[in-house]
Amino acid sequence: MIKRVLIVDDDMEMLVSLKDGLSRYAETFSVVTALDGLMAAEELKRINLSLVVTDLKMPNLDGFSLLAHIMEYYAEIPVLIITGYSTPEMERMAREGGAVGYIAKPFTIEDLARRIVTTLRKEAEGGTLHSVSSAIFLQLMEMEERTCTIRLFEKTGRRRGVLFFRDGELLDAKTGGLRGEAAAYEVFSWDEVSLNIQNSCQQKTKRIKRDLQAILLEAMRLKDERRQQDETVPGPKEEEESGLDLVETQEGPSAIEQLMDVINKEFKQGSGVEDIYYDDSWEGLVSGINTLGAVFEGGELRAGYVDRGESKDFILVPREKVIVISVNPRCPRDRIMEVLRAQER
Amino acid sequence: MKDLFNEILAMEDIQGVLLLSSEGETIFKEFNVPVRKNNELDESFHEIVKSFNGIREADLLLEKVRVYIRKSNMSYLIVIMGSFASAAMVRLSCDMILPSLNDAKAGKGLRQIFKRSR
Repeated sequence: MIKRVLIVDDDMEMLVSLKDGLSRYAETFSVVTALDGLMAAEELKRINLSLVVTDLKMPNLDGFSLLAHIMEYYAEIPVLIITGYSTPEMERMAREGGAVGYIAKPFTIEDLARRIVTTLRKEAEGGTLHSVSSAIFLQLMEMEERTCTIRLFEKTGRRRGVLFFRDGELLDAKTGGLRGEAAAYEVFSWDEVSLNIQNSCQQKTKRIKRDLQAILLEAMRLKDERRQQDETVPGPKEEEESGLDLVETQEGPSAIEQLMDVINKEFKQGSGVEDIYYDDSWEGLVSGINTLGAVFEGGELRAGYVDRGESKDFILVPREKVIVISVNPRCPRDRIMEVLRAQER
Repeated sequence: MKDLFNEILAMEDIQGVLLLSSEGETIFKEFNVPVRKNNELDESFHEIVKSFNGIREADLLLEKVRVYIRKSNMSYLIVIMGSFASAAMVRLSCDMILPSLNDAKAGKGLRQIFKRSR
């Protein structure tokens, strides 16, 4: 899945130039921008981000305050600091504040891209596992006294969460609007998960007081209770579940799931689909195509197959946001397009 | 000039062919259907081509037309198709045309190969 990087700088020209220059790395990460710390805080609330790159001197909420905000509420998101007024003291403060890196201006796009990619790789430096039981795996973390940040994705891909371990002790958990023990109960109730292990933990505050075994038992009890309720009270349950963020877990999955259903139904296997996700970095292309459509009175883009000469090709399906289906270039392209075309009729 | 694209233009339900430089200048355009905004075309292309950044090939399904885009070394070939056109045949024809487009060296420029069509 393509990761999102938020770049925060009050210099609009700099932002445009960085976004443009980093578009070459769109296969690895997409870029969203904010003009100050307050706008950045809004973006953090609105979308899932994998990294924040911020300037220090900004109006409204400066870089240090933004860094403190991220460490408090989004400790799983690494922060890189960029600044034109670099002093050893500032660098020390940034690192003590939790920043993982410090880049002095001027720098090249390639320098920044390299730092971004290196930092993003650390998200899974300790390994990635699929279809594992979260309860069993996390007991191992405790036994091995690991210090790590674990990102979990429930098997349907609809829910995700983060767990923070220090020396084998579970400090905190996050999923949707939940934090601490409530989030841990939720995460441990997921049957099968995929997870990434990052061998560091920026979380300082200990929000979970109970030990892991007690949390696991309570999670199982709540899960059983919920199952019993489901059996006795018919009706939709999905909306009640807390999503990680409103955009991706409530509105998002339905459109993505519908598309996956259509493709799975049509192809059973061999569709060549590798991943499906929202990615706003394609909005520029969609807008350009819509302009072309307007010129020829051909209407707006409904679906598009794009080959950029990379190891994957992409199918774009614009909805409220752009849904991207990454596919193997040897996929049955015409058939997939035909299926999408039939969908649009 | 037009000869190169005759085969595509003659296919069933092909509405038009455009060749734009990578800066968005019109090198060639020919339509089989009336284009109401013909006079606005050239102004729009710069921004449109800018958005193509990184595309090597694209097969696009719009509400009323289908658009096939193919990048050569120095240009974008754009084919506008109706719903009865065969995208596979268009792709095949573009495969055949592409070497000629790629052969247009920077020094000579595409303009010397194609006469601009207004």
